[in-house]
Amino acid sequence: MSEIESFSPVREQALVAALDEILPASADGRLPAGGFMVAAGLLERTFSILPDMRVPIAFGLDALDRAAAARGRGPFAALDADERRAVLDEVSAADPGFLPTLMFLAYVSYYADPGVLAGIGFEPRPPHPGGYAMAPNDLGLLDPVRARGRIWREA
Amino acid sequence: MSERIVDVLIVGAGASGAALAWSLAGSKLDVLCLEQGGWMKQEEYPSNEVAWELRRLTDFGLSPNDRKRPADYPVNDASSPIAVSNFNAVGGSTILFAGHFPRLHPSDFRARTLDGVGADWPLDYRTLAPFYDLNERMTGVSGLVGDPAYPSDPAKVPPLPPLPMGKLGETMARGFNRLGWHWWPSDSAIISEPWEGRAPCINAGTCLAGCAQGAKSSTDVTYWPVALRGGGVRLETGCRVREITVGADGLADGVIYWDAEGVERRQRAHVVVLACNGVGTPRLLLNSRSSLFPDGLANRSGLVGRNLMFHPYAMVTGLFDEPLEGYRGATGCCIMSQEFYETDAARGFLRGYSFEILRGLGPVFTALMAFGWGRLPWGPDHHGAYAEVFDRTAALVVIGEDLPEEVNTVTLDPELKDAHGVPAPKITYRLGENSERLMAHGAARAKEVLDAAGARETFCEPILRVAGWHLMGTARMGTDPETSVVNEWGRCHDVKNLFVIDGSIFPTAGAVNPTNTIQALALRIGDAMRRDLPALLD
Repeated sequence: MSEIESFSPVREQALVAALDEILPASADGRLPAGGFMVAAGLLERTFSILPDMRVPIAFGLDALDRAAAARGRGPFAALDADERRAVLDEVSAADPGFLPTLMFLAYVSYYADPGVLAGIGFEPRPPHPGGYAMAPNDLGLLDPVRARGRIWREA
Repeated sequence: MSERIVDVLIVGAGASGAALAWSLAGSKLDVLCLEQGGWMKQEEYPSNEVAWELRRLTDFGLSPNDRKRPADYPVNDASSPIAVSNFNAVGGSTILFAGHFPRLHPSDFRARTLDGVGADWPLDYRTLAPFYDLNERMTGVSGLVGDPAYPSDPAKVPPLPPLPMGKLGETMARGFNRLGWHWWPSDSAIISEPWEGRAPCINAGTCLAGCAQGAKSSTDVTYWPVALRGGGVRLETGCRVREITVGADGLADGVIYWDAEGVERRQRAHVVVLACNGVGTPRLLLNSRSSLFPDGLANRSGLVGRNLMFHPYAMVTGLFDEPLEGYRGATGCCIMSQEFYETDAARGFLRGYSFEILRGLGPVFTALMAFGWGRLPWGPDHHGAYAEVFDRTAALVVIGEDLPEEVNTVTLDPELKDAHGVPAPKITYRLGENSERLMAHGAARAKEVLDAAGARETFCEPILRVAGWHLMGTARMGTDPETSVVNEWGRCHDVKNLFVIDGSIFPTAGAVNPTNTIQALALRIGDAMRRDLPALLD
C-alpha cells in the first residue's frame, strides 16, 4: 500500500474523530459513536470491499487536519465537537465529494456491526439458517379482487 | 482436441440451458453443456454472515462490472440508462433473481395484431401453456389459483401455496383494495413448503444475494441435479466459449472454448444450442465471424443484437409511520398487480406494466437508501432520522413493457475485452417515447397506491439503473427470415443446426419477469428435439 493510501496514526486519529461526529453515540447509550469502527477493523473491512474509497478519504482526513491547524487549534482530533463540525463543513465546501464519501463509508460499516444491529432492535445474527417467522396470509383481502372478475384480454 | 462429436452442445447452464438439458436427459441423445461459471455452494452465500449486505456491493453484486468474478465478462453499458444485471454460474442469473415467476398474458403473443406495435409471436399462449404447467411443477412454484388477470386454465394451479404476504404485503393489499385495483399473491419460484427434497423458504429476505436455504428455485437446485441423473447429459464448468465454428456447408460444427485450466479446446457437435441470455448470445454470434458469415453467425437479417429489450423499472418507495416487518420474507415475491397491464389507449401509451411490491430493506441498505434521499443526516440528528426509516419502507416497482426498436443494440465493443481477450458486449439503449409515457404513468399510479396504503411520504426513482435483469429480443423469433433470426423452435433461419433458446428470441417483452416463459419455450423446443430432432433441421 502506498503512503497516499495508508492510514498513519495521525490520519487514524482524524478518522476516529470524524466518525464520532458523523455518528455520535445515541442519547440512550444503546448506539456507540462511530469512531469505534477504526479499532474494531470495520473500516478496513469496508475498504477491502471498496478500495477506491481509500484515497479520497485519506486526502479528506489530511484536509481536516490542515483546516484545524489553520485555526490554530489542530490537529482535527484535538478540536471540540462544535469546532469539528465547523471544520467538516469547511472541508466539505472545498471538496464536495469528501463528506458524502465519508458518510457512505461510515453508514455501510456501522450498520453491519452486530452491536449496532442490537442497538437498533435488530437481531444481530445471520439471516440464515434461522430466518424469520411470518403470520399466515389473510386471503379474505382478495374478496373484492375476486368479485370484480377477469381483467385479461382475449387474443 | 476432443474427437467425440456430441449430438447436442448447449452453451450456458442458466434458466434455459438447464431446462433443455433436463428435457433431453434419457433421450439417447448425447448432450453436453459448457458453462463459464462454476457450481455455487450454499454454505458460501452471504446470508450466512451478519454483514451479508456488504457482499451485495462486491462478489454478489448484480452488475458483472462491479462483481468482477473470474467467470464474469465486462459489459460496456455507458450508453444505456439501464445496466445489465446477470450472474455467471451453474444456474446463471437464477442464482440472484428474485424468483418472480409470472406467465405472459395471451395478449402478449399478439401485440402487433391487437395494438399495432411490436411483433406477433409465431406461437400463442395456448400452445405454450402445457410447458408453463410443466415448468411450474419442475420449479415448484408457490402461488394461488384463480388470478383474474389470467385465463382460468384448469392446469394453471401452482403446486404450492403462496408465500406469506406479511404485514407489509397486507398493508399494500389494503391500499390496492381502497382504489379498487387488481392485486394477487405473486407466483414465486420459491418453495413455500418442502418440495422434491428441498427445504422451504424461511423468510430470510436475502433472495437477491443467493439462497443459502436452497428454497429459491435456481436451476442448480431444480433442473440440473435431475438432468445429470437422467442419463446422456454432461455439464462441464469453467468453460468459456469463444466462437461457434461452421463447416463448408454452412452448418455449425462445434465451438472453440477455453476449459477450466485455460486450455483452448474444440468441441464438435451435430447441433449447437445457445442459452447465454439476451446479451451473451448475440455477443457470441457476433464474435463467430467467418467468410460465410462476415457480419456474424446467423446474421443475414442484420438483426442479431438488435431490438434489445429490457423491462425498464421505476421504483416508488413509501415511508410509513409503523414498522412493517419488511426485512422478513422473500425480497421480491410478495404481491403484484396487473391493473394496468392490458392496453388502454386513453392512457396515452400502448401496452402496459405490472407492479411488484418489494419488501423492506436490511439495516445497511436502509441507510444507503435514506442517504440517497438526503434523509439521513450526519451528526446529532442521525439516529432519530434512521429510526424513522428503518423497517418503515415499502416499495412498488413498475415493470414496463419495452417495445422492440432496432436502435437498441448489443454490439461488440471495439476496445473492451474479457479475461481471455474476447470482445465484450456494448449496450446502446434508450427508452422510446411510448416507454417514457408508460413509465411516468406507472410511477404516478404507484404513488397513489402507497398513499392509499398509508404512506406519509414517497420517493420516486423514475428509472432504476442496475436493473437490466431481463435481456430480450436480440435474436428474435419469427416466420420471416428477413425480419427475424430464429423460427418458432429457436432454430436459426441461416444455420439449420444452430438454436437459440434464451430471452434473445422474444419478439416482444410483455410486462412480467421472463424466466417462466424462457424456460417454457426451452421445454417446448426440448420436447420437439426429443421427439424428432431431424425434423427441426429441415
